[in-house]
Amino acid sequence: MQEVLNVQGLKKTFTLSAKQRKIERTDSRVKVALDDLSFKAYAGEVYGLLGPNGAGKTTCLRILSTLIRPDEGDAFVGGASVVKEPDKVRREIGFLTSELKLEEFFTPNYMFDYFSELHGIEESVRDARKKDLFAKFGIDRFAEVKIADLSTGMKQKVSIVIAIVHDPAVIIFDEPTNGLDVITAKTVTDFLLEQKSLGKCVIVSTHIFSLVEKICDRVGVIIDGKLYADGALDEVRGAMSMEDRFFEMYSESRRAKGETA
Amino acid sequence: MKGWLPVFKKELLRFFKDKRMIIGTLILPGLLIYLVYSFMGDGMQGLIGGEERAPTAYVQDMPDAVAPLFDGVVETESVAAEDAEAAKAAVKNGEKDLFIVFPENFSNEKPAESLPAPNVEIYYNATESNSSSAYTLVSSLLSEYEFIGENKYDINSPLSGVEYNLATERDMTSMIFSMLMPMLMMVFIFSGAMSVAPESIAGEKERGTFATLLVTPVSRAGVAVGKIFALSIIAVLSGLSSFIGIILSLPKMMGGADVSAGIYSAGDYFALLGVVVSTVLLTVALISVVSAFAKSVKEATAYVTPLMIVNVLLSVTCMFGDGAPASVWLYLIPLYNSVQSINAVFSFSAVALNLAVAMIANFVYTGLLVWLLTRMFKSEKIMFRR
Repeated sequence: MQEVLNVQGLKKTFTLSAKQRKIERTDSRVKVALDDLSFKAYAGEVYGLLGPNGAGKTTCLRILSTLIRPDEGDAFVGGASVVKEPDKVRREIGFLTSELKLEEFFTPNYMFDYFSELHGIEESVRDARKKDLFAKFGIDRFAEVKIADLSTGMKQKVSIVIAIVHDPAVIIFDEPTNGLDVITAKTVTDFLLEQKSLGKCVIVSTHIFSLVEKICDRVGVIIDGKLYADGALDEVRGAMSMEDRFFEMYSESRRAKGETA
Repeated sequence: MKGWLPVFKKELLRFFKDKRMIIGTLILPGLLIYLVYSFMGDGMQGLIGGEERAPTAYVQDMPDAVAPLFDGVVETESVAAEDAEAAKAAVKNGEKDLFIVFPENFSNEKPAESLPAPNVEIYYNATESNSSSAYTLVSSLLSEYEFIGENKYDINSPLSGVEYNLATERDMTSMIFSMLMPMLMMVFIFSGAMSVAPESIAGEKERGTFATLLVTPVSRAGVAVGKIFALSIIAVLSGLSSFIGIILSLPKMMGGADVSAGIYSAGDYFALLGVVVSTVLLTVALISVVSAFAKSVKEATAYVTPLMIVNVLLSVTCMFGDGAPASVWLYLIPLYNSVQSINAVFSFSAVALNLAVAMIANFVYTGLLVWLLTRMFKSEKIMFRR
């Protein structure tokens, strides 16, 4: 399998304000969001980052998408460094997270054209891709409706389509099915599996175990910014369900923390 | 700069496709200014001119020598001493404007040292504007009469028939324009920029649409340049709307005085255009940098307010002092250089070198601010601060 993503020793800390220190009940002025995180992902697979809220999943994905920079370490997308060559990385990835919004004043049609232009895609290629993706997600009927007037599910579908206007080799989705009804969620998971079959590398972060078991080939479990497990789904969960295995790891991590504290 | 064009087009489209933005930023400012200033102009003229009628007065014991003074200026009607109370009542209730009582033996000859000066009593009603203006008129008429008695000298006697004010229409216009225009133009440019830049930068940050833009391969410099160009065009149009409002209401504000912008040559307007363009770019870039620093539109507006006050203070410098300064170094001071350049153009005292320095300085500052904005767009601390 061709290695597409290589994450090497990512470390990221955030400084905490006095207010945040109070909320987190800590005297430490820095919060370690990622602590020496390393993993690899390959073409034609779905890699799932699994972890509780605040574990560092989103921070990791934001570094991979070049929105923020690691304090230490690096990650390579198709050989390009997220630290040194962010422009190259941006060409290779399609990033979707609830944090990224579309300007609701415009229509899906215009937004597709706009982002295609930003990615430097030729008009003929753009039109063919738009037709295909709009039909697949059922956006075609709403192509000229302002995004503000669309339903939550339709907005999410439009966001997905916009994130991949440039047909990226790596698709990074943060909590892709959050807030979606089962039908829309299924459209999304089907789409991710289809991308995988097309040889794309798909990275998803989630805390929904059923989603992991359904679509992920390999998983990485992040707790407190550290990678607790990394490998094929069956290797990681063993004979247990992913959920049970996760709770086991979580308890271990709490005990380890209790001992060192 | 790669990718500035799509960002530029998107910004313009965002504005021009939004009816509310167009009404709020392009139509309303000009219309409101026109209506308010026209209304103020009419009001002022009403106050000064009022109805065109001669003041009316009851007079008691008016000497024949004084009568010609009042001819055609004040309509007088003699009353006897016993009707004095009735005459005062008439002034009180507004039927007559004045009641003037001349002393016995009234004359403008200097009285003997030992005697008190004769006193003319003028009863008036200060709450009636016609009465108080008639009071002012009659007092000045009588003062004049008093001086004619001594007649040591006259100053610009109206009897001479000579026009002593040598100012030409050109001078009058340039004086009015060079005092008013720099301030108005600077304020309009600033408010035009302020109505769009915080929304486009801090607003996009706040709504999370900026991050979507930042994960695309478009260069940060391209985003900065595309936004600043587009916002500058909108700021100019918005400023122009207010400006047209002012120009259209000017005749009413000036009360029919001859003020015509036609005295300026194409060259003057061309110089003005250069100054305005460089100023708009600088102002938009400045507000954009402040907006990029802010977390929300609200915060951006709060940060921009002190800048706006500085802008207004610099703008009024053209109302004081003795015209535009000659020293070329002063034209390196941002915003101040624009105020004084506009002032110089309107007062026909522009020096080509100074204007060129002002424009080039503004372009250089804009370039530096674009560089700074690009750096800010790259900074996660600034773009993703919570």
